[in-house]
Amino acid sequence: MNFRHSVKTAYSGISANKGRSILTLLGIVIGIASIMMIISIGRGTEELILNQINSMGADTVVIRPGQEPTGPSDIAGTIFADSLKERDIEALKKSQNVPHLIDIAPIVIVTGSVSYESETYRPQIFGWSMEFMAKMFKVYPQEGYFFDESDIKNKSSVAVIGSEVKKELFGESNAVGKYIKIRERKFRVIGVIAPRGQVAFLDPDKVVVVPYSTAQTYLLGIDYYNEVMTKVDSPEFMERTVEDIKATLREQHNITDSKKDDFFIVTQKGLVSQIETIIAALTLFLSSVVAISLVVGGIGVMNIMLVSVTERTREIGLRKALGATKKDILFQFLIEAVMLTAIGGIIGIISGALLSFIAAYILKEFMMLDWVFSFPIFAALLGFGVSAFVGLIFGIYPARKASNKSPMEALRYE
Amino acid sequence: MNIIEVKNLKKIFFNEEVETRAVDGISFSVAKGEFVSIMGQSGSGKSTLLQVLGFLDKYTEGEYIFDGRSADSYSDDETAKIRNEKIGFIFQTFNLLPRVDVFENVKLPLIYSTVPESEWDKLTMKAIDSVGLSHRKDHVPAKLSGGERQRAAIARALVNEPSIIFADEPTGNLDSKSGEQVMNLISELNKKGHTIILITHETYTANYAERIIKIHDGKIISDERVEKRNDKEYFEK
Repeated sequence: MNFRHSVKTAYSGISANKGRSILTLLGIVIGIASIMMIISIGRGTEELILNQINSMGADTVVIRPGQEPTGPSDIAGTIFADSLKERDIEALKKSQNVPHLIDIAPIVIVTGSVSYESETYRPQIFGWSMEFMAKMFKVYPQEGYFFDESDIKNKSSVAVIGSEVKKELFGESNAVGKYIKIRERKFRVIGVIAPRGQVAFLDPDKVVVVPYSTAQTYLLGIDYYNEVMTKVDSPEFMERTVEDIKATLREQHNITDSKKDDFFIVTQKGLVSQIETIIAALTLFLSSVVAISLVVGGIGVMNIMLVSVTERTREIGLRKALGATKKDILFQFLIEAVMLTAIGGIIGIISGALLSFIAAYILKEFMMLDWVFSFPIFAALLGFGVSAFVGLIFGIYPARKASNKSPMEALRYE
Repeated sequence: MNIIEVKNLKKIFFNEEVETRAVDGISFSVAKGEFVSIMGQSGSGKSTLLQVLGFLDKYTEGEYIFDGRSADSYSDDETAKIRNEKIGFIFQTFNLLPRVDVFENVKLPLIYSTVPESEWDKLTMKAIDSVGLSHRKDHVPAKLSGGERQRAAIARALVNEPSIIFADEPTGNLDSKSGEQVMNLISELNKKGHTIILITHETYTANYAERIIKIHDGKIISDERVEKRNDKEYFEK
């Protein structure tokens, strides 16, 4: 029997029991649709995070104190690590130490709320360099001006606030020149940042920035930094600069064994590969959970195929009596099983795509995320391949059973 | 030239240690073009004999030479090919596929054959025409009368131009008028050169053949030529 007729015969077998076939398909449809959604949403998440990381810039190197965190519990450790101090900044600034470093600014994180008269708000409070932040996040003052090096040097009690913070504390009235309270200390508002929206894990609209020296001395009483951000003159010197920074800091801290580093470096490239690893692992994990549903679906297909083989015992006998070989019968039932699951696969791919599109729409419109709907061709091909494979695996046993029936036994069957 | 030669053929079933000798040492031969009835009561072993001769079942002992070659020497695929090309079956219960129409049912043997696909429709129509069912070719079996169903089955049996046709109680499920129609068709096939082996328990039906072999308890009890053939033309003469 030629392939075209095998397919035709298999199709007539499936369509003879439409209702039953559809119910059998459901397991495969749900499994494949879930895999499609996991891949699509995984892709979207990756895309979203990578966009954020990329907006940090390929020329940025972040130095953090403490040991590189390997788990969530380690992150707390880095916040209280006190290994990065002013003399480290001075050493890094020297061009004989790190020749390609063009800009450097430490960051101090202040927790707490900000208040003006009776209004209180909890923004992210940073002790930072406003010049550095302006360059890095491409922000400019909407009102007033940003503080500069001299304010840092003088430990001035001045603050620059995000547009959202301004709205929360001052409403429509003017903010510049007013005094706000951070941790019971008065700061004069000198500028408001023009609305910018989320960039690389930070929303400039919701921050309050004060000179880092002021934050260290008057707000926290510490002499170390929570983070140091630097810029490299060109991304091509990235790796070299990272090595230069490490060498300089090790010398500063008298470290000879790199395993004992009391700081670690974060770069865009490093973050990207980390995120990619995490999402790939997550996708794999979720997919393997869904794979279980495909196995269950496959068993359903096998079950129905076995019923179908028994029901059609006479038909098998007749076909054999009319000249069908074992192989013809084997293929007829195998193709039927594969066709069943492949149809389920196609429906699953389409509904998976549709559902991920709806999910993407919701994330974009209602969650205000910068979400990009993506539905990779490879995922569709994978879904199709997997569903056909499930049919092949779970169809073999019933098909073999059918092909091994003796024509006479089969014809006698009532 | 004999198309079928059997010597001391036995078919023994073993069921829970009990052995049943359905065919118990049968020897006879059938010449090409012959029309033979095999008669016997139910349980006499006539159907089992037909199944063995038609390559639907294997025999236990003895010798069966089909078309000059021992049936032992055929592989599974070769017996499938013989069933497809050289043998046509007509069953008491018609055995039509219920979900496809007459045309597709008659075509069925062709899809397993080596006949080029371009000729399938033509051969199918020719077979349907020869049993007078052209007007019913698009009907599913459930829409046909018993006689029409058996005629469709006959068309299916002859679509591959087999050399031998095995008919197992072809009139068993039909009224006498349809039965006569079917038997006349089978007689005509014989006249066109097909060898016919007919299984029946009715003397009237058996008398269409030129020779009757009677079987009892798996053994031949008589093998005689028919003197008054139950033939349409015979009566007309």
